Order: sequence, then structure tokens, then C-alpha cells
Amino acid sequence: MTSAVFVLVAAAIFGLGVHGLLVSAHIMRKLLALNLMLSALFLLLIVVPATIDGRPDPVPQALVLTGIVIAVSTTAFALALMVRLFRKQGHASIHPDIDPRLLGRKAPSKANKTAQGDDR
Amino acid sequence: MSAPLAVDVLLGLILVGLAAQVAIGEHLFRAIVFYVAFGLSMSVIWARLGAPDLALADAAIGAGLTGALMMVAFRRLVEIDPKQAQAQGTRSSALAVLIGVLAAGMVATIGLTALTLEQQPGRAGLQVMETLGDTGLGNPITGVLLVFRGFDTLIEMTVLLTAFVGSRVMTTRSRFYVATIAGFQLPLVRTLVAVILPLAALIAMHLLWIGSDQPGGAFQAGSVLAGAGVLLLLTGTLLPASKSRALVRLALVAGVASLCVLVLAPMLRGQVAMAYLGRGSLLFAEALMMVSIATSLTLLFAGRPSLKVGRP
Amino acid sequence: MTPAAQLLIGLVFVPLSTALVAVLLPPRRRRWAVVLGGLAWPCLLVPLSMAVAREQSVVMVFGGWAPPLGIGWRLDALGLVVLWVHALAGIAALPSAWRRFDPDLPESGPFWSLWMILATGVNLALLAADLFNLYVALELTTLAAVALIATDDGIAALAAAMRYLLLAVLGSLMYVLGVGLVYAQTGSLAMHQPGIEALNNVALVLMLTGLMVKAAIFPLHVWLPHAYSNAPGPVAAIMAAVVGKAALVAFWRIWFETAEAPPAQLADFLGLIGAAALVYGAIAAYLQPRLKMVIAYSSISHFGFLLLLLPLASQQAFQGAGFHLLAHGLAKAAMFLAAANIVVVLGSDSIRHLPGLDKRMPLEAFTLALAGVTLIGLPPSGGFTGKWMLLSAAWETGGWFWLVLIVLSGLMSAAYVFRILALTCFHPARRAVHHLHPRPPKITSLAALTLALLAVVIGLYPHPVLDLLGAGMPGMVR
Repeated sequence: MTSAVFVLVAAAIFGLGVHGLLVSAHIMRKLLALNLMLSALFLLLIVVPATIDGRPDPVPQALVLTGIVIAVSTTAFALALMVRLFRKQGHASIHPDIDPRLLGRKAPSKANKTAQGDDR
Repeated sequence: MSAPLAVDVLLGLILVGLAAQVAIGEHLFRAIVFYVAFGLSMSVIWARLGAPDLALADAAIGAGLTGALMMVAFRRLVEIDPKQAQAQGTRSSALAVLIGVLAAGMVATIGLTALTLEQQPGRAGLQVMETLGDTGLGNPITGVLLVFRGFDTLIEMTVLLTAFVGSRVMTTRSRFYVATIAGFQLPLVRTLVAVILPLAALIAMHLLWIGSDQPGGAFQAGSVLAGAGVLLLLTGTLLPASKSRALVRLALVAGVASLCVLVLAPMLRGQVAMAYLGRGSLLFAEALMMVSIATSLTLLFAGRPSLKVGRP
Repeated sequence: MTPAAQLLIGLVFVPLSTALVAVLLPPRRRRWAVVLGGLAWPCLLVPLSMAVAREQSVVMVFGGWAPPLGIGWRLDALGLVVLWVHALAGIAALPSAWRRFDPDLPESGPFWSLWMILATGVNLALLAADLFNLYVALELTTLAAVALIATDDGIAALAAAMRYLLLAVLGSLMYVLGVGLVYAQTGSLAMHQPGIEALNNVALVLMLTGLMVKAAIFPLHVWLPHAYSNAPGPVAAIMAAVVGKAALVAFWRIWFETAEAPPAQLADFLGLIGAAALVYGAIAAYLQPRLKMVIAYSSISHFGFLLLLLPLASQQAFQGAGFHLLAHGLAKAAMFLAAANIVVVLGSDSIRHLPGLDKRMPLEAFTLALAGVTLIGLPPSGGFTGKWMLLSAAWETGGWFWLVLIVLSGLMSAAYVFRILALTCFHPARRAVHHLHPRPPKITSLAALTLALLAVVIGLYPHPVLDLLGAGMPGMVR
């Protein structure tokens, strides 16, 4: 029963993270959302596997520990990249994913790009 | 593990509430602060679920250091352009909410199905518990991390190193804001450093030593030291330095190098790669890993490749 | 440990130690250390190739703890082929990297260390026989690749790197969830799971989706075009040659080895996705105004093509697909290296500047032409051999749809290749660019040309490689 509660908790956090990822333009918000999703998955990884003689299974715990360290490393690097990007382009968001040139149109002008950032 | 269900539900609600504040709140800095609170609540849940090593690690690394890194990054944005950094609203839409709900539903279904279907203990976990006695260790997680699946740990340490080297690509070109907020002229700061620094060192050593038999280990110890490093940077006891020093580089590399030694040394004696060499070898590797973890995380916070002592 | 297993260790630890030494050395010396390491580890491939030819695979287990307790490595023919691509492309990219990242540039310090770290990650991803070890290897590779893209300080490169990072993390999330489910089902993290009847389909789909992001399979490919086209030349070359392919190899391995009997509808569905990628990439490549974007979208098209192995699961198809990996990897690396030189001399890679290239930069133009021949699959190039085997496999199993698609892919590749070549060679040389920048050293052009030549030559002598790949993969029809 406890496990079911935490599975639902993990699901809710994951959903919140997905929502945050989609609605935020600022890169740091996206990073926060991704970290939420990761935490939710780690919770799932610990809650779902069965116990061994009453003690928790050590293998998923070691995996999650590894995952936490990798998450911090990736986040730290992403933050440095974000700061550099902010300094160079004046706002901390990334361009929309459809390359307009693919559709035969010209790339958005500089004015449009900054305007997009200013909405946020 | 027989706490009543109500406590679990309460913990879960707190966690979800904090997550909501992180994901949906309007002000970015507020979201970061709530993320730290979220991380600390997660470590309570890890403790509740019987994973004390994870609780220690998530509190230190997941909540504390990630929060610190995010706060200093936010501060750097503000230093570059105060107005643009504040422009961080979110733009919600019905479609995004729908996708979020669907994602949550998918995860819930997967989790609940997995719970009901498979209740056999994992074969790998069983073998770990059975073989742990042969290694002379008491903490199965240390056994998995450093003996049975030690190679994963080696690559994980390399990822940490790569994060630092990768951040150097960015920091070589620009002056990153120096995060000193309270210098030594404040009397409280002097006392704080004088008390916290030895305490942190003691706790780190303790975690390192007992990690072989009790919850603890190199990651937890290293991150406590990194926390102390962040404190030193914040108070100006340590300052970022641009000129990279050999000793610092050595400290960064020591963790990965020690694990490489664990892999290659047995081969010189004719054994299999990473054959178990005894508790002493693990302690040696963990000590160097602790140094590397502390150095990498402190330098990632500092935004410069090296550190120098500040003048009080 | 057998000698071959010791060599396996070298494949990862030579680049890794070189990276560690590079971090310790002052920036001026780093280049030398990394070049030495980059030339040293490929030497291990020669005895390893002979070992694989004899025994079909070389395995190793860390610490003597047999899986599922411990972690194992396995080098099979498929991994060996991609390792050769990595070695050759890596060596060919060294002159270009040497010129581009000389020690006076501030970012050249981290570049050289990252170059070796990327090599470590790629080699490890190809050797991994454990699902979680693979995850960590791919994380290492992705992080190093993103940092390498960011060494170009332009906004486009930095934004492309960020987008790649965010999408890659999403992919990793899905992959890790899948691995967790596999563990919950079987209690083991090994890639080869003997004895289970059917892998949990959800776990399979999750893992494959995560890998599809990393291998840039349409529609999860959006990070690739900007990442490849804005990265510095040698970085784009090595990424196109091996980084995506490592994820694709992992994809195949999980499909054929972990989930030994995946449902046929899923195979057909994934084949359709591959078909969509193939068509989309080719059409997009035709429409691009920049040379590097053309090459990037061509990669998307070819990765989709390689997904056709799934519905056509037979030994012959496997030989064809593996051979195609080899030929395509060499050709793509050659094209990106040539394109890098073109950007240096002309100042941009816009195709408006290409007319007259055959007179101005004949080596690069010839490289593009030769590589294009492999991409189209014209005989006697290596691309032809790969396509031919896949065609035969489709013929034998009666898969008319796939047969038509394979032929179509050749035609569509021809469209965008000929567009580039026609502009280069046959268009009247408009004086679009007046000022030509100084040429890079000739060795960079020759390195690219050698790769393109190799891609054609292996088509002339395909049998050693085809025999190596003849073992096929578990679960394949002979």
C-alpha cells in the first residue's frame, strides 16, 4: 500500500515536470522540470522492486545514487552553458524547433528573436 | 517500516505540493528555493523507504549542491542583465496540461502494473546479499558501487570530471560572477567558518570511514566537503582564481585515477580486471574520490578553474 | 584474463588515461598527449579484429563477478565495425582539429581533453553488455559531445548544444525507466537475458524511444541538424561518424539480444518510422541552403534507412546494415571534414558559394563527390554493397514495401547529392565570393579524401567484413 502511494506521488511529480518542461521558455525552468522528472523516476525505481529478506534491494539504490551524481554533473554543465548563452544572445531560451528555412521561409530576424524572449 | 499509511500520504502530499511550486510558480528564484525544499523532502522519503545512503546523498548533492549551483547561476544571469533575467513567466496552455496529465497517468499505470505483477526479488540483488560476506563489507550499497559494479562508478566519476572540463569551455571566455556575499568583516561569519569547517571535515571523514559497513561513503563525504567549500567561497575565505594550479588539477583527477588503479592493478598481478583487493583498496579509492568530488563541485560553483585563499 | 580481454580494457583505458593526463598537463602539451592517445588505441583494433574473426566475440567480466552480479563487456563483429569507423574517422579528424584548436585559443585547452573523453565514451558504449553500463556510457558520450559542440562560441552552436543536451536528458529519462522495468521483471541488468520468454513491451518501447532520441531517428531528430551544422568541423565529423551510430548499435542490440522475440507489429511499425525518417531526411536535405545542413539531414535519412533492419531481420540484412554502417560512417566523416575546409576558405557553407568549387578546392570537391557515390549506393562503393545485401534480404522474405523503399532511398540520395555536385561542377562560376581566406594545410583535405576513398574501396573488397558480420545476431533468421 505504501508503495502504491509513492507510485502515485512519483507519477504526479513526473506529470508536473512534463508540464513545466513544456510551458517554460527559460532554460533554467526547463532544467528544474527535468530534475523533477528525474527525481520522480528515481522514486519509482526504488519503490517498485521487491525487498530482499525485508531489506531493500541494494542494486536499484546504487543505480539511483549513480543517477543522482550524473544528474548533478549534467545540471552543473547545463547551467554554465545557459549562462554563456544568455551572455551571448541576451535571453535564456532556445529557438523554436521547426527550422523555418525548411519550410522555404527565411530565418527569423534578430528583432523577432528578442521579442520572443521578452514575452517570458 | 510499519509507520501508518497516513504519514506516507502526508509526506507524499508535501512532496507533490513542493514539486508544484517548482514547476508552476512564477518567480524563478522562488522555484529554485522550493526545489531545495523538494530535495530535502525527498531525502526524508528515502529514509522512510529504507535507503539511508540515498537520503544522505540526495540531501547533500540533490538538494544542497544542485540548489547552490542553480542559485549562483541565477545570480550570474542577474549580473549580466538584471531586467532580462527577471523575465521568466510561464505560458500555460490546455495542451500542455493535457500532456502533463497523460504523462502522469502513463507513469502511474506503468508503476502500479509493475508493482502488482512482479514481486520476486531481483536476482542481482539476491546475489549481492549472498556474496557480500565474501568481500568483508557490511554495507551492500558500497559493495555494489565499488566492488560488483565498480566500473559504473568509474564512469560516473568521469562524468563529473567531464562536467567540469566542459564548463571550462564556457568559463575560459568570460568572467563569471564571484559569489562572495559576506566577508570576514562580519563577526558572525568568522565564527561560522571556525565552527562549520572542522565540523564538516569531521563529518566527512566519519562518513568516509563508516561507509564500508554503515550508510555513508565517498559520495556523501565528498558532497559534505563540497558544501563546506561552497561556504568558504560564499564568505570569501576562498576565492576563485583564474590561473589553474597543478595541485587542483591533481585533486580533480584523483578520483577517476584511483578507480583506474583498482581496475588495472589486479591485471598486473595476473588477475581479472578490477578483481577485489580488500577493504583497504576500497578505502583508498573512496578517499581520493571524496577529494575529487569535493573539488569538482566546489569549482563548478566557483566558475573558475582554481581557488586561492582570501584575505580576511 | 585472456590476452584479447586485456586488449578490450585498453580500448577504454587508453583514451581514458590520455584524457586524465591531458587534464593534468598544461594546455600547450595537451595536443601532443591526445594525438598520441588517439593514434595508440586504434592499434589495438588489429589484434582484436583477428580475435573476433576467430572466436566471433571477445568477452570480459569485471572482477570475475559474473552477470547479473557484475558488469560484462562484449566485443562482437558489429561493435568491431563501428570501432573501426571511430578509429579511422578519429585519426582523419586529427589534422583538422590540430589546425582549428591551436593552444592560443582559450577553448582549445578543454577541447583536447574532451576529445579523448568522447572517444572513451563511444568505445565503452560499443563494448557494453550491461544495460546500466550502457546508460552511463551514453551519458558520458552525450556530455562530452555537447561540450565539444559548445567549443564553437557562436550563438547557433551554443543554442544547438543546449537543445541537444535537453533532448538527450529526456531520452535518458525514458531509457532509465525502461531499464528499471527490465530489472523489475527479470532481476538482471545484463543485455543478454537468457530464459525470458518475452521482455515487457513497455520497457522495450521506453528503452528504444530513449535511444531513438540519441540516434536522432525521426521524429525525435530535431537536435541533430543544428548540432552537426554548427559544431566545429572535426567535432561534426566524429559525431556524424560514431556518436549517433553508437546509440543505433545499442538500439539493435536491445532489440535482438535483450528482447529476443519482439512482436512483429512493433518491428513493422519501427520499419515504417525508419521509412518516414528516410523520406523526410532526403526531402529536407534537398531543400537546405547550407552544405552542412544538407549533410546533416542526409544523416537523418540514413539512420532511418538503418532502422529497416528490424522488419527484415535476417543474417543477410544484418550483413548489409552493418556494412552500411561502415561505409556511411566513413563517407559522412569525409564530407564533414571537407565541408569544414570549405567553410574556412569561402567563409560560409551556403550553397550559393559552391559554384566553381571544383576549380578552387578540387580536393574537397572530389571528396564530396566520392562520398556522395557511397551515400547514393552506386557500385562499386561500400554503400552499394550494403544496399545490395538489404535488397536481397527484402527480396527473399518477400518484403516488397521495403524493397521499393530501399531503391527509393538510393534515388532520393542521388537527388540531393547531384544537386550539390551540379552546383559545384557544372554551374557557371558566379563570382559570389571575392575574398578567399587562406587554405588549411593540405593534409586536412587529404585526410578527408582518404576516408571517402576508403568508403569506396571497401566496396571492392567486401568479403572480410561481410564474413565477420556473418555470425548475425541472436534471433535472426539465417
